[in-house]
Amino acid sequence: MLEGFSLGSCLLLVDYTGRLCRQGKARQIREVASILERLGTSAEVWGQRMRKLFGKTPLQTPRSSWTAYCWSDEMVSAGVQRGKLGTFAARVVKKLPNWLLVGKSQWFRFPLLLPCREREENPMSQVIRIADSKGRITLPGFANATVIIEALSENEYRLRKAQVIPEDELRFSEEDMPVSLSQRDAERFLRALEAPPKPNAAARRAANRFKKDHG
Amino acid sequence: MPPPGEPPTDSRRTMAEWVIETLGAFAVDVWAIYDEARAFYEKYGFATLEDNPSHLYLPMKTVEAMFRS
Repeated sequence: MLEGFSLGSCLLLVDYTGRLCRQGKARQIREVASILERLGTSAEVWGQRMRKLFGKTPLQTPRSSWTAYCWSDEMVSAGVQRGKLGTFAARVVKKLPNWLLVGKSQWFRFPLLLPCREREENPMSQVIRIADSKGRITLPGFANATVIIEALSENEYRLRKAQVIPEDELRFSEEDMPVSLSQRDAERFLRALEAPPKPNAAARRAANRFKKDHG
Repeated sequence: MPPPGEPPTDSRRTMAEWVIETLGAFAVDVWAIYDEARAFYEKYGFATLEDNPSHLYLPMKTVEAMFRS
């Protein structure tokens, strides 16, 4: 295996190449373009090589019939373009907001929809992204987001959305729950601060126990 | 005393002083979530607010005196 060429990339390329050889199976896979770029080639050159390799085996021309679409803001922010659907398909998808559009048929111009209720509850339990030649990936819902990246191990990172707050605007949690005192309680409290009561016997004993136990 | 800004590590007494001088805390504030908890804090001298009996406080000067005595 090539250095930096993951098993996932290899399998994706095998799948892509295998589909080239099967009638009606060829399709464009977005991630394959970056894989081929890393290998220093292109889809066109790769196809020509396969033609030479397979000789008379009829090779298919990749079609975009199964390009993934989604009508959600998350996928739009991940780079999926709206407006690739026909008018009828767009109308159907808008009527069914809880359905995920995973593709459309080139022949029938009808969207293929899957229920995405589970996806809404757990939008990214596991997704596979292929990094481009500069190590970049797109993540649904993370467009223009500030993130905290934690290296959990050499091969595992955790991303969390973050907000940048100016230092002088940092608030204590107590500030979100201010204590409002009545007039008489406020006066009593201020008197206690001006003339603090002496600690009672129980408090002194507790302090002595603490000093004895903890030095 | 440790340098300003650094909490002391030698004893709780100097910690109480450090909290008063460095952090500017002037009272310990407690919300008792049930009556037994409120009785516990009252036993050690915490005062309750008249309009909110589950809210108790103890001035830091009292805490400091506890560890000085």
